[in-house]
Amino acid sequence: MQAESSSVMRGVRIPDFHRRSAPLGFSALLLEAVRDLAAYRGARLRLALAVAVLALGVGLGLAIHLINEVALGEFTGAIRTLAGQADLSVRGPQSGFAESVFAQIVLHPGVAAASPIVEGERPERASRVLVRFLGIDPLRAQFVEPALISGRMPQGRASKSADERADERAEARLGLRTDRLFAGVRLLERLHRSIGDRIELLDVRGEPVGFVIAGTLDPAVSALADRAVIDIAAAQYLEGMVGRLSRVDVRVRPGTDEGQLPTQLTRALPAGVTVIAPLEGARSDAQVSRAYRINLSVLALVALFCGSLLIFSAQALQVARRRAHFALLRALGLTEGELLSQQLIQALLLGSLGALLGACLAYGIAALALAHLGADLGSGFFRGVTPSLRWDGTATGLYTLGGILAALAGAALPALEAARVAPARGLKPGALEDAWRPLTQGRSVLISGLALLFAAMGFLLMPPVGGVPVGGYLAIACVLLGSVVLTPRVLVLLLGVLSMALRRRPAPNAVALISVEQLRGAPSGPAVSLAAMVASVSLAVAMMIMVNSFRVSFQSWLEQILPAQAYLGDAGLRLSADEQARIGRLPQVGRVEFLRSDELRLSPDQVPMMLLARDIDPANPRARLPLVEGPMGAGLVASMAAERARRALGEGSLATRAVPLSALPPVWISEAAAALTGLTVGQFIDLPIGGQTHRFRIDGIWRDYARQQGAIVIERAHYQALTGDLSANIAALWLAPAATVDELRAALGWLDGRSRLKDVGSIRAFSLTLFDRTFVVTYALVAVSVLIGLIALAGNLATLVLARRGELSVLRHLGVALIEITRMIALQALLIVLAALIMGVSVGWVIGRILIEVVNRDSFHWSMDLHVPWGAMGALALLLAVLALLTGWLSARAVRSADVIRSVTEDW
Amino acid sequence: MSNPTSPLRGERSTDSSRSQEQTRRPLQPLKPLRRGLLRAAASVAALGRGGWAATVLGLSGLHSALARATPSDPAAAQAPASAPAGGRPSPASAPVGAAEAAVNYPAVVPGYRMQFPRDHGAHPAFRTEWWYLTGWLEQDGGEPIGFQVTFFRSRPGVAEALPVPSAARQLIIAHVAVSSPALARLTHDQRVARAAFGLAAASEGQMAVRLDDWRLEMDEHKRIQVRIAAREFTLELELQGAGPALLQGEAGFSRKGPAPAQASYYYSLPNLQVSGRVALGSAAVRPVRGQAWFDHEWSSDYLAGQAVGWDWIGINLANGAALMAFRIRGAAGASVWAGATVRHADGREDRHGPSEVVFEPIGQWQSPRSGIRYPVRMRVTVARIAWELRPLMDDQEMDDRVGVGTAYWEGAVVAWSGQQRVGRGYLELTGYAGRVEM
Repeated sequence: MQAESSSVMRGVRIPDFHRRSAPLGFSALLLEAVRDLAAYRGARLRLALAVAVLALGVGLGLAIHLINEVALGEFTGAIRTLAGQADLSVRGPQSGFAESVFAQIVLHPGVAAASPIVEGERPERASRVLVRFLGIDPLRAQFVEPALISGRMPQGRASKSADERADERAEARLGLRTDRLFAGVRLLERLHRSIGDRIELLDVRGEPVGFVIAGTLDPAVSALADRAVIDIAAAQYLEGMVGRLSRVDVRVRPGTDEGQLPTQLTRALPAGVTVIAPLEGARSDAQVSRAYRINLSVLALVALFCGSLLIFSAQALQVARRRAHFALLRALGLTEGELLSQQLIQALLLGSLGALLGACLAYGIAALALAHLGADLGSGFFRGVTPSLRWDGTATGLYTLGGILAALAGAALPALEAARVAPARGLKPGALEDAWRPLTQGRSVLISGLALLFAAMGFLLMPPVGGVPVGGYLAIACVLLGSVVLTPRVLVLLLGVLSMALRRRPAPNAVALISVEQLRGAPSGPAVSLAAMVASVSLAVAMMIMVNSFRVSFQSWLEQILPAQAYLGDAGLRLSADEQARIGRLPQVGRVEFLRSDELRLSPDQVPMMLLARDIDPANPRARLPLVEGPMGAGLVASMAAERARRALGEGSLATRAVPLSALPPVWISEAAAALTGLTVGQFIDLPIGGQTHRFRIDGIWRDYARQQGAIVIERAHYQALTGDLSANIAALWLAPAATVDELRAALGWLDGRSRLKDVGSIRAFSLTLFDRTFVVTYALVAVSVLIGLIALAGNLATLVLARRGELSVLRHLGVALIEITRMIALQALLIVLAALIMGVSVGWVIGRILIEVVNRDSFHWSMDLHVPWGAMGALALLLAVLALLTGWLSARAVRSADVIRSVTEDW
Repeated sequence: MSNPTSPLRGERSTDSSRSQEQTRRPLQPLKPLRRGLLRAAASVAALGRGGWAATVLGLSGLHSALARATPSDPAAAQAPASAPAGGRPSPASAPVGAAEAAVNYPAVVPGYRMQFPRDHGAHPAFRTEWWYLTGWLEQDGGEPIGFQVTFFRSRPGVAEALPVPSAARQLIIAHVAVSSPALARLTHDQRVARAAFGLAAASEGQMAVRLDDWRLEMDEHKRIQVRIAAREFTLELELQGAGPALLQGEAGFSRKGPAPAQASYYYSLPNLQVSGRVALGSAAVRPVRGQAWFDHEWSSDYLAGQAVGWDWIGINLANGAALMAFRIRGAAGASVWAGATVRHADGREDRHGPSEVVFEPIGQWQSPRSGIRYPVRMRVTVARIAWELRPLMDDQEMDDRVGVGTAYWEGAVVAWSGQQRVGRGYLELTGYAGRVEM
């Protein structure tokens, strides 16, 4: 630390750097930076806002990351511990596969032990709480996944007394009883039961089946906390799966070639039954939610970007404003490097403050969200997982660092600018414009901006990487950056056009002309702050467009996919053929169609697809399915999407499979199914139904927002012929002419306890509520971006006006009326807002289209129709305009009262 | 529609307050019942480690415990028959214990006519049944080894009313052991599974028991085929009998205690000629020949409550005769019951009752592991003819105190009469580890 002599002039301490003997160290610079920050007046609010926005960006991003990681960790951890020591898992369709498959597996020489499992979910009789259970054979399971056997198993045998050992063995045997149920601790809480109590579950026929809670599951295995374990025979009875199994977990004999075993086993298995490593299964399940999680994270990153931009504009403005101060510092002996460091340290301080605040905020937001929205943030991916928030040091550190880097990035250019101030020239007023001229007129800026936009187009052609639309995200980033970089040029252009238009008029309005020319003359200040406004407005507009398009598409999709007036049932209901006939004969029913759903495994590494067997007329599928025109839409974006798909699937893959086969029975696949299998209309698809592979012709592709893993619709009559399964899960009912839904509900009273009739209006309303819940986070981000835009707008407009206090005072002195000055300021504010809106809406529209056509299509495999929310955007424009006027008026008032002479002589 | 007052199908509608009490009663305080269940549990879960002996003891303990518990349990006193009247069958059973009491195991009564091949097969209604094979094998140019293969069927009395084939209505347990002096200890393996999924079954009407890939079957030529691939050895044996089955007791009705209910149906196939292939450890497969003894026994109620254990011998005599003798020991070591059957070389059969059978220990061996003393050298006197039994090797102890909680001795023995070797067979000594505490 150097001893400094300083003098005080007008309350400002002026250090004398010439007297020091060595370059200033970091601590000295730090001290200077802090003093500087403390000393500067007028910008504290703006800086505080910038810090707040940074904190918000870091907070949101980290919160989303925490929630996702915690939920995902629980989810895969659950799968991992459930799988236990099983090396492989044999799974088939949801309706299960024959027990004879199990015998084949056990007798295979490579298998050391195999455990048959029946999975099910039945409601508890009194409370209708859904109980997820595993039906096991304890004698087999103990060699493969002992965690499933009651937690009180012999441990440390030598130390136990004979009585205790005998007790434990008794438990093993009692597990064979079909009326014994072992429940996890959380399940017991949910059901308000304890060991020894009786519990009744409803089977598929709606009859109650009684159990006694004989014990708990191993509390160390968190995956089992929400589940129950019962004997496999009881599970088969409950689910109506007599003679069938859900899966077989296998332990491989040591010394067997683990790579070959799955292939060998699969050869012996019927179609649709595959061998997978349990962790693979967990990974593919987690994959499904990955797109959703990544989207959320990217949205949060964009908020961070806005925060960075705000810091940029704040710093740029303050550097511009204090140009003379910096020139003075340079004159007093502070070197370029030291000044740069000082500025950067300031940014570092601001960034650290913001990031740390953000980190604390993140944990708060995460805790709140987990408590109210659930681990899946309302999306339904991680049902049944109730994780607790954990400290994640790495993520916190990374996001904090990210926040600091964003602040530094934002402050870098202005800091460089401050450092390069030439002492003599900088002391003169008007030097600001020279400094920022490259922004508005420099060719390199123009070229880089255009290059970014071209790069964006290139990125749009990139195929998704690992299911993630990286190209889309990069394109959005390039468009945002490019537009931000080009904002000043565009502003100048717009102002030039406006100026020309004004001059052409026979009697140009003086106020208007002066306003425009003032802006044209010194566009850098407005341009710099405009960048932040454009970024946030475009983000807000993009998200509004995307969400509105989605919502409107979703609503019309709901109408097409739910054409009936009332619906009965869900996956847990099973209606026999007699019951279906009985429903059809009711006088209140005008027409009824049934649906049977199952899950098919087309390949071991994919999540199973839904098979929907519906009463559908193959000649007129459009009446029941929202078909889309071909696999993609039309136009440039569609052909680009087609190009992406082609590259993703590899050349020739489409060609080799294009075999027209009109004699095959038809199926209709959802967009997700089309994306996942790479097939399209006119090609054939092989489906494992009823234990055998059958070939079908793809007759159409339909839009499906409900199932991300893909769905295939088949005629129910054909399905029944192939499987002999006459049951149905869902009934779609049209009312007879004079009947009402309530009458129908009363007539269906004999089904009470198994399912309740719902009218289509309430289903649609509920679906929309779920939709809105899923997008709660997106709505929150839209609100945040609009808020950022408004903050930027208000702060910068005020600054600009204050910056020109001198000029305005001169104008007043020249005789311009106060009211005209007010109008001038208001007009300038409006012009800036208009520019922001024009650019923001255009860029936002582009980003919105990218989100719809690229990001959503590649992440979730669904399409949307474009619906621009003109109303909302109009409201946004109006809001911004009103705020601009308000700010202008307030700033004008501040100027009005200033002393003319003083404001001319004073540095702003 | 289900009747709301009796929500559990198959359960008699009791007073709701009582059923409330019963609902809340946890498992813990049901001491005597539990002890019985535990013994049964232990025996079944013994998975063959204790072999048929331990299992039988366990199940008899269960039965006596139930007999004690039943009158005090008012629910059980009103228990219906195993099939609920007029209702759809369901896995719902009455409270703990009543389901067991509700299962009717047929009693073993005199006068049953054994027919073959029908009675070679399983008798699924009875609680317990086993096919028990022991013998001596000689490898070419090698030493003799003893082997034991037991397939066991148990009807635990659960899930009787559930119309699902995979319910554990029958359990199949298999236990195998080889005594090889080269290894100086028993090598053994065991499996247990429910008779379901087409993997484990004991067929009726013919001898065919299987558990995964282990088999004990009689083919159309009346040869018993045995296929065992255990962890440390494999056995592929073909056994040929000469002569008819040796019905024990009175035409197969074999008493096991003073009370008439304590009995089993029991026949033997002695003097079986064995040929086949054996691989021990990592050694190559070698052809073997030898003699074996086969027992098939089934019962619902076996042992008297005061039994501590038993001793049993099955000896193939060199002259073509066969000897089976057993005694049930009480607490003081005295015989509670005993019996013997001798088939002479000419086919004559003699049956002897408790007064004529004496087991006399003449040599003890103490296990270095368990510390239990077994009378591995025995003198058995049947109708004043004495046989002295000397073991192939001393250490043929099955020590499963950590698993089943009991240890016993089951090994290959040589029978001497005076100074002459007259036969070979197996000796089983149970209940020497204190009371058979399972």
